[in-house]
Amino acid sequence: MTDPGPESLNGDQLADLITRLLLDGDLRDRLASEGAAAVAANAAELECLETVDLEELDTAARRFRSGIWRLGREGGLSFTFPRSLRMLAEAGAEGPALLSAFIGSRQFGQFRLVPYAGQGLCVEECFASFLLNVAGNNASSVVRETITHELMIALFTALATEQPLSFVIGAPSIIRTDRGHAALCSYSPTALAAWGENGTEASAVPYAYFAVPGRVARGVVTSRVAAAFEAAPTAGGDAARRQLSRRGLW
Amino acid sequence: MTQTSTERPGQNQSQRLGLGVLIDMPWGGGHLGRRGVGFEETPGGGDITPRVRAFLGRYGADFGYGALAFQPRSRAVARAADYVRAYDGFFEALPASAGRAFHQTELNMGTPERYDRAPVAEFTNELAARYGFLWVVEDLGIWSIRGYPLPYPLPPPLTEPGLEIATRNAAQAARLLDIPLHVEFPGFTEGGSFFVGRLDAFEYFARLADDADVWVTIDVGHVLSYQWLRGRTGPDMLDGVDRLPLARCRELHLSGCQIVNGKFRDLHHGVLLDEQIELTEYLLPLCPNLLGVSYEDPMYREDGRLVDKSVANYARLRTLVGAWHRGPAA
Repeated sequence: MTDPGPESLNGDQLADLITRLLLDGDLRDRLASEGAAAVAANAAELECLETVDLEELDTAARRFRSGIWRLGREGGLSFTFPRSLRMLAEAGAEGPALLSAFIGSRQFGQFRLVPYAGQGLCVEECFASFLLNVAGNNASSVVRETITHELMIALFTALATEQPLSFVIGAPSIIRTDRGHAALCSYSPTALAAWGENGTEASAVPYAYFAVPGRVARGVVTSRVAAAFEAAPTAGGDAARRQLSRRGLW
Repeated sequence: MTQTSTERPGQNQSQRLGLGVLIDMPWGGGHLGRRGVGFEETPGGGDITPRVRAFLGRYGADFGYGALAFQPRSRAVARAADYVRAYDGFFEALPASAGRAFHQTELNMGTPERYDRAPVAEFTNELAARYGFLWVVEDLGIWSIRGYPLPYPLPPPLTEPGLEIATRNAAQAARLLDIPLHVEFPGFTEGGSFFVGRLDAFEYFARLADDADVWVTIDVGHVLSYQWLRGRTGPDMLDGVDRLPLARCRELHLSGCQIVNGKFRDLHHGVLLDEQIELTEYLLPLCPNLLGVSYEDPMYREDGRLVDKSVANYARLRTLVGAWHRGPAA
């Protein structure tokens, strides 16, 4: 094997460069407008960048981006987050620009579909985290709760139908049960109304998600059922878990 | 060439198999022009679509072997048990006498990053034991990078470190597999397959095959796409082809290709170019260890009939390969 010499990128550097070429629209724009010498960090990068066919790169990046949009189950991200995207669009954040920004975001860096170079989060969880960041802390609780709710539906669908998962789940609220997984969230009546679900008059409505093999259940729960999620065991919690277990949900 | 260091079960297969068929089999019934081609979910664990069944029923007797290309059923960790009902359906739809092979898509031998191939090999070995695969093939490409899926595999970095890493990857994959690995020459300029580096792809591939000591598959369209990129078209399309590791070649692939906007596209639409037939004719006598020629991703209607545009050159290919199959061994 010929000595690669000191001026060639090693494996990690090659992987970094190819990944940046796919993800970084600014880099592609500068490469096209200013040339390889202007964007290369060193002679080794220049050696590689000089050989890139810009038209092919542009097509590859475009197809990569649209492929990300289609990831997840069924119709992709727009199918998974329909209400969230509609609410954000009404606030001025439109889909195509949103997708480009997502691919360049810190949150996208945590996504891994193919697990053999290291596991990561699923695309839905990364996208939800990105959307929450786009919405900002000043967004209405309805927007933030809608993003969370649509993410939980996606995660619980995966937990029920894509086992053993090839990705990790970062959402801390999801716990293991005897048969699968469960989570307890708290939503405002306004959010529930926006989703067409009936809540209660309370300001914070307990809402639970359950996944067992091949089956997902979710909805508003009573405080008696919510006791199943308690941190410290109590008689009420034990009774709630037994009840859920009898229904095949715990 | 020596293969003694890498002999594995099936390695001594030397009988010509003739024409084969290789079909990409996505779950959910395919998409766009290939809607209805693939596997569909069923209560029993999945099955081939009626369209695939109709094609294999109509043309199956043409083929000495059949292969399918792996597509993940979901984001679950791939387990053979989750695939075998559907794969049974695929292979049972072919004549019982047909050989079987498998196209992986997750060995990712072109990637320059660290990548754990053991789970993919284990999954493949389980399937190979069940179906008696004669080989496993995968394009020498970057199929995913940093866990991100790529729409079309990128050629490996054509640099010295890129070659060294890809050679190591291919040798490792061959070592992990219980059956022979065929490393396939990658595609170029397919509408989104940019690459980095200046090494000549034919020499790169020959060095990799020798140093990793692996068998290879030559995709005729991929070779033409590289020739096109280098300006070797028309009477020059054969220039340099003999630098490929032809003595190591076990299989040729032909999928539907087209020139679009002055670029060579590997569209997998079933319609073979005249140039693909001509290059196949040129290569057949130069590949002494060739086992078969695979018609990759034929395009057919719901009733299984090949689309009209593909019929003429499919017939030419069948005649050409048939003569080679019946001819004297090299």
